[in-house]
Amino acid sequence: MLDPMTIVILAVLAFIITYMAVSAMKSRQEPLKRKVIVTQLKCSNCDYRERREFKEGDYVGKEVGECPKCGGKLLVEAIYLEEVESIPELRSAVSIPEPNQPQKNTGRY
Amino acid sequence: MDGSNDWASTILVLLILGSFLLNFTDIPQKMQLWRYSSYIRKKIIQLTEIEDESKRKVIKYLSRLNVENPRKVLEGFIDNFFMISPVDIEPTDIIRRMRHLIRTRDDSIRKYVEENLPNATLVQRQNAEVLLEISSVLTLINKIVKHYFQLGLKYNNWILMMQLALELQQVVRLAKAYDDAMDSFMKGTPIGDGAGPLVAHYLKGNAEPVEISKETVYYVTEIEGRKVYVIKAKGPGSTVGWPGEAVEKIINDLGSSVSRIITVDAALKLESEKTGEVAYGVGAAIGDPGPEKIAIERAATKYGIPLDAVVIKMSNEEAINTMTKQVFEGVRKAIEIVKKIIKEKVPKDGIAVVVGIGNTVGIT
Repeated sequence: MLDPMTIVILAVLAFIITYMAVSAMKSRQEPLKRKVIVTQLKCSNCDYRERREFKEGDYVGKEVGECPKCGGKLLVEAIYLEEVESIPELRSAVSIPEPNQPQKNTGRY
Repeated sequence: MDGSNDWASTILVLLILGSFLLNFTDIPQKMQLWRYSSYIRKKIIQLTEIEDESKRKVIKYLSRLNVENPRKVLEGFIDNFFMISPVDIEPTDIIRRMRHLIRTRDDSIRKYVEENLPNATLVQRQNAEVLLEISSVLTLINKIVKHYFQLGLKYNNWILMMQLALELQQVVRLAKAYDDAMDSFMKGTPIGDGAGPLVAHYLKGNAEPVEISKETVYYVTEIEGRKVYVIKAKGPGSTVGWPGEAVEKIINDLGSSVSRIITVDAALKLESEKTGEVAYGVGAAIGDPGPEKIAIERAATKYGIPLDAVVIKMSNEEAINTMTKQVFEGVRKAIEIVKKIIKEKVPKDGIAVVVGIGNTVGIT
């Protein structure tokens, strides 16, 4: 038969362990989200649009080249931060090239 | 007497003794002071790390712009360029005095940056100004926290210590947001506060800019068959421009032929609200200390022009960091609302003035 003091000590220990376990589980449950800055491009002439990862020097309204569809001005339409939860999602969010492969920025949406 | 009775007596004695210690001595307060001070010490270490990190970022940015002694430039800025608020016990002319002080300070900062970054472009200088300001704010936050912490320790003021400890989580969150914001300004990406200028950018279409006030431009375009003057800060550098003065000038030129003034701005959301929610109402949506806002209100009142406000909601952190997708979606909604107001409330031959309020970093 356990004496009352031992029971009290065991109860306190059980409470502390449960509290720590619940706290640890809570912090693990928070998903690890990655953030990527997306630059959205739009042709000033036709409906062509594409998205790519932000490059330093980009700003909204900047002319970045020619439209591959009609040869019109390709302008930066928007720049924003997107949260993605996994690498495949990150790759579909912006057209990030596979390692050792030529860059391809044609993720139309 | 058996064993269990002995045990119960011990508990009873301990309870009485504990109750006496808790109620009639300062021990609990001392313990709280000790607990809170150790928590605050940890947070101060965190704040100091954030402050140091911000300084490293500024030095890195200035070095990239070939500044000879970036540390000296930074040290010359921090703690200086404060502004003493105008006398408010005599309110006559307070707006004019405040505007004068704000512009004097802005000019001094601009001159300091120009002198130290003579070869940088306007956009780089504007972004450097903001980076120096952020670093200065982080230093100030850290100093204020240390001040109250040391006061609390000096006078054994456990209530002050408790208040500080309870506030610190929010303070550290804000400091982190400021530190993260530096990356946005270094890269030159649009920030959440740029929602207003972004709406203006989309509304202006292909119209050409005309400079109307310092770092502020307007465009004349046509929306839903109505003539629209679109005002925004001149981008893509980091500036908010002088939108109040610009509205004042345009309204004084056009007079009562203007049917509507619509201001679009980012607004701080309540915790229960979602980022990117858009709301509209009446008044001047602009969060300046006073001079720009009152200029818009006075111009509208002078000619009896209705004043509409459209706001895009976001948190404080989102307002100063790279624009999120939710805020961008809010911008799209705000454009539709502005167009709807123009269509429904401006007559076919009428004129509307739309003002995109906010920092135009990363937006032309």
